Amino acid sequence: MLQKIKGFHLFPSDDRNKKQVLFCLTLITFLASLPQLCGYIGSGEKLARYLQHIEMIKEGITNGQFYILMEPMQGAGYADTVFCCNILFFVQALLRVLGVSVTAGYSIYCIMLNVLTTWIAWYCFGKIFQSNSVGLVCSALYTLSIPRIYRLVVAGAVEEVSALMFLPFIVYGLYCVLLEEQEKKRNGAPWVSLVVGYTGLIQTHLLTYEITLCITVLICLLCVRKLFCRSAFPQLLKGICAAAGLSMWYCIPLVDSYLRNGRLSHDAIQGNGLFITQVLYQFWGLASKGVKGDSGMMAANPDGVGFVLFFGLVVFAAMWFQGYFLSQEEGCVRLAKISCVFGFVLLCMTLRNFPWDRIQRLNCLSSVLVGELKSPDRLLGWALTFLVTVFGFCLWYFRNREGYFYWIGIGLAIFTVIFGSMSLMESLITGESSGIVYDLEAWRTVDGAEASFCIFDGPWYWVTGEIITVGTVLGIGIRWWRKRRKKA
Amino acid sequence: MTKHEKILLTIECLILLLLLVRCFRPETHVLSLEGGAMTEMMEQEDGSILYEGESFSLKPGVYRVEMRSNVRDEQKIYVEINCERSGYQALRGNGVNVYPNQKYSSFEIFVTDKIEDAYVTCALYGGREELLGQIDIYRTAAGSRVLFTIVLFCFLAFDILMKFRRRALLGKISRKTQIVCFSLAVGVLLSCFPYFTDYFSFGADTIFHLQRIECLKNTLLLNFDFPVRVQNTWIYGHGYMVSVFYGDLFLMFPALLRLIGFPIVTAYKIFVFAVMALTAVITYVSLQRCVKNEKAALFGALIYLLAPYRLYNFYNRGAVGEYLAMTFMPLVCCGMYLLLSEETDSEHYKNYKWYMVGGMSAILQSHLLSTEMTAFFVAIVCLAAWRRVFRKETFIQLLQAVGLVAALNCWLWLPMLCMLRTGEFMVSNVFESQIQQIGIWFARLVQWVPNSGTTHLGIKSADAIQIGVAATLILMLYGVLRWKKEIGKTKRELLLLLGLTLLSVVMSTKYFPWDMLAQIPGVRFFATSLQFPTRLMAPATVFSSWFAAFFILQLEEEKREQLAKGVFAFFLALAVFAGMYQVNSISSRSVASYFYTAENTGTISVGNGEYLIDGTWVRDYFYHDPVAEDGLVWSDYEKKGTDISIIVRNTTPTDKCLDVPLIGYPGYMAVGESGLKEPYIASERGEHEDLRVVIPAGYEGTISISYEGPLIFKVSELISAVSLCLLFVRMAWKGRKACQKK
Repeated sequence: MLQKIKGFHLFPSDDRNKKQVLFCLTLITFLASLPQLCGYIGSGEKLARYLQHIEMIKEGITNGQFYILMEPMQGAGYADTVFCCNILFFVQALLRVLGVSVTAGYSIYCIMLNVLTTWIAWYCFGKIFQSNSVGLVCSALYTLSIPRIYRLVVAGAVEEVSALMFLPFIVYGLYCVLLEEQEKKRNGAPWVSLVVGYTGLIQTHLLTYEITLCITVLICLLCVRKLFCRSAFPQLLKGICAAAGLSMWYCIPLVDSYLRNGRLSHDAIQGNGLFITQVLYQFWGLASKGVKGDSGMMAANPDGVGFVLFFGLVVFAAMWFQGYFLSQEEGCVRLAKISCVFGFVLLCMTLRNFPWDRIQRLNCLSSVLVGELKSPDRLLGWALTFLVTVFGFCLWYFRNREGYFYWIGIGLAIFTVIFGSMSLMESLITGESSGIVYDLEAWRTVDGAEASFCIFDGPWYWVTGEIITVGTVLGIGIRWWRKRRKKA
Repeated sequence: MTKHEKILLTIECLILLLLLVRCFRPETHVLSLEGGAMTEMMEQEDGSILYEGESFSLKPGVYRVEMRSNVRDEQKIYVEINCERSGYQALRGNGVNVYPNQKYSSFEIFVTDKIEDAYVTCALYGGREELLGQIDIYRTAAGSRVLFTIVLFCFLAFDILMKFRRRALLGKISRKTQIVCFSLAVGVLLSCFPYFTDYFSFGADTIFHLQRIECLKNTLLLNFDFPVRVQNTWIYGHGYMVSVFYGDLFLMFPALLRLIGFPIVTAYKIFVFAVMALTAVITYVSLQRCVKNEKAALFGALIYLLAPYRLYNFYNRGAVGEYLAMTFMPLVCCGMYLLLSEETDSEHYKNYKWYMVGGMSAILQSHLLSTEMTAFFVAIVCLAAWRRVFRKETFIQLLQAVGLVAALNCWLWLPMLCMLRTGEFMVSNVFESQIQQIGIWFARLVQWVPNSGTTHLGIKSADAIQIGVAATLILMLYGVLRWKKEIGKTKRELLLLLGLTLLSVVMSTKYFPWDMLAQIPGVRFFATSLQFPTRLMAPATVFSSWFAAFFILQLEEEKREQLAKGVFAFFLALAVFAGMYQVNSISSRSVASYFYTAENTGTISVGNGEYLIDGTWVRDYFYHDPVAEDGLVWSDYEKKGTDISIIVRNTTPTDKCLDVPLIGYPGYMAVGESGLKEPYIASERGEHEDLRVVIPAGYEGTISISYEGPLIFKVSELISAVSLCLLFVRMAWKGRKACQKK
């Protein structure tokens, strides 16, 4: 039935093609899910908070409250769900309600993310470049990218990874609405991609949505002439309005709470930026897992797009510079040009050399905007998306003109997956700090010894306390918990 | 020039003019801090007492901090500028030690963003605030000069790119050439990868070369010497004769960047980038001249650019001389190939020797041991191709090349030989007697994945001392194809390159009988002066990359297009993969140092101290005033680098000696006031080989001491200057003749 939705074909109609695509997508998903197939989960900075969040949703469901706005932490309440929505968490919470352990539930959720990301990326890039093979390569580069692996496996930043899943929808939607040639307009409603994309972003990771909004505005400004033509503007408007409508249940309480109790961050972020070497680093399997510190690359996180993706950007830029696209007005070419510029600028903005501190000091608004970003590497998600788009374009371009370079591109993609992503994954899987968590009250590691990460030293763990009323003293909750523990 | 280009050029010139004006603004005094005004903060764990001054603000720019102090024996001060709240790395500077008897010290700090609360801290060892004198901070115009230079280079790069683009669009630059330029640019960027950070990672010898650059800059600034012979600020101001034994010509570039105002590490990184780019261009152009095939030349150039031993020299060893020499070795190969392979009656035959002259001169100016190795292999090639060598014209051209190299570089090698012959220097005695044990194992040659490595010896965690997996496999592939008769008869040059590669590789291993050769009189010097046989990986890398290029050429000439394409694609990918792996490994295993202030390194990083007077050691030296014998009174002592001005009075009836804080190298001159009996430099030296000046009885007046160099130095400089002038005259005359002919 799904295959018959107008304009949306989940798989190619040809049987042989379908099998090949299915096989490749399964392989990509399998490779991306290797860390989840080990029987344990690794520690991550944000993992504890995320797992607690799931537990609270689960408790809410078992207590008959399907959607809780206030988590009953320590009786004081914590409005995590108001500020940090992730509708997809309900999947894992439901698994917990059914009795699945924390570890298994988390692993199933991550595998689900991998499946969806792989398919969405293949679908969107395949549609843009009208080629299954290019779509598959882009899907592999996107799903098995180093920033994504880092966020999912090392940092435990599941919200960000969930948001990454929706970025290809935005690219596809904007391409169809603003850039695609009139005569190539497909059947179907391109604005639907925008609806899914924006809605997904709002309801998974708000910060990524804010960045997406800025990028959308900039792309609209670049394509301002096309924007106000008969077909483009209504499509875009429909997409934005539908996304807003579908997210109203979350946005209104959020805005209301912010206006009442919001505390905006003005922290400096330049010191959290990346090194150029880190962004272009390819063989992360060599390096240690790393914690952020001031010891240069020795202690750097595996958080960069890698040399091969950047090389694709450089190749495209060189071709553009030398006038290869002078007489070409295809939508793909325009998309690639925009992606090249945006990708490069965003990469520069993730660096610690970028003058974030100076921008932050300009005025109050810039101070808030920069402070809320928390870390420049938040822009890496979109940088990655643009770089994959450019790489996909190069493959598409050479496929139609010079088969020799097309196969070199495929080789490079395979190389980066095997020697970049897989080697990193292998080093992470065999690294330290892993644990099996059944429930909050009892936990142990694979070998029975005490876990090296003490996220469950008590049942409550706050990250930075940002979702708390201005003026609250953070220590109160911890003191209360200690009293309780002593009594026990 | 189009209208748009003219407008753009005008705007660029206007901007540069505005920036240029700012470069000449005078220094502004920012702060004066008396030692007594500093507050005692606390006693630290190491026994020092920390003092802190009041806070002050700093605008972006380059600042010079001057300190006058009263530090005596067993005392020391560590001065630093800090700040509490500021932007990311807004203050870039390191602390500096002030040593006993060092009355005056000065260092630089770099401010990239406005700082509101900077303050001075002084950690005092062995004393209290009486050690502190006065601290002055000045804002220099160096920041404006740096900005001007950066903007100038950005504009130049932009204009060149636009010109390149225009010519490419007009079809004046072929697609192959565009691909070559692009590939070489990517190769250069890849090989500079470990330095794309805001910190620095030191190699084994880097600190020595950084100090060479810094002291070269100080000598040019203070003493206006050229050519520099004794670098002034080394070894607590005693000076070090490193420039006589180790060519400084190419270090003038980073020294110039330091003079402009760049931090020492930035200047060094720019220098490394320039060397990488120069290597890429020289190697490609040299190969292109010989093979006349862009694909083969590009292949060889990239294999050379990303060779593990080259990258190891840059990042693991910091061996500036050796990697500079490796930059120019392809020129020598090109010259030799063209002189031996081309017909003597060809139009440009007499021009081919200039590749040899340029290459050998540059290698000589870079690294003496590399010159030895190059000369050795040139001799072997001449022996192997003796029939060609003894063609009349070829022989004449080779002799001319040798003569030109000798004449043009006389100012370097003649003083060096003279100093070595004196036997007074430690360098005469540092030759290793047994170098065979330091060679590499064969297994190292087939280490496919070149790790950064931590050790020169053994296999475990071994450094990447090899020609590279791509070059090794190409040699093996050639052997297999030849054995299976898949390719035709091998060209002579291919055989020769194969032989030279194998020879140099074997010589770098511990299987070559170095120790036995060291017993042979006459050969001993060359066998032991190398210090370690792994240096022969440098020529091995050159030969193997040239072999790779000629191999592709042979395949194409035999119409084996598919095989040539396959070899090109596969082995190039392998070379890039290995190079990428190695630079990644180096990046992730190098210790990060946030090093900005050159003075932080001190003055005694002389390595083995090869150029000290024999019998001394760097630890013997310290800052001190002139030491006079009884009856000799001195005053108004001023020392500016290696130039000293002092008023002395000898009231005794005998000649008296005055020891000044300079190492007693031959070549110093003492000039007294006219009309009086002249003071002179004594033949014997003072304590720890300090320079000794004899003051005649009854002398009273000013004495100026400076380094002039022995007469032979002047003669050698004259020979080189005359040769250079004659060369320019000849080139101008030939150019004029060519124009007239046209």
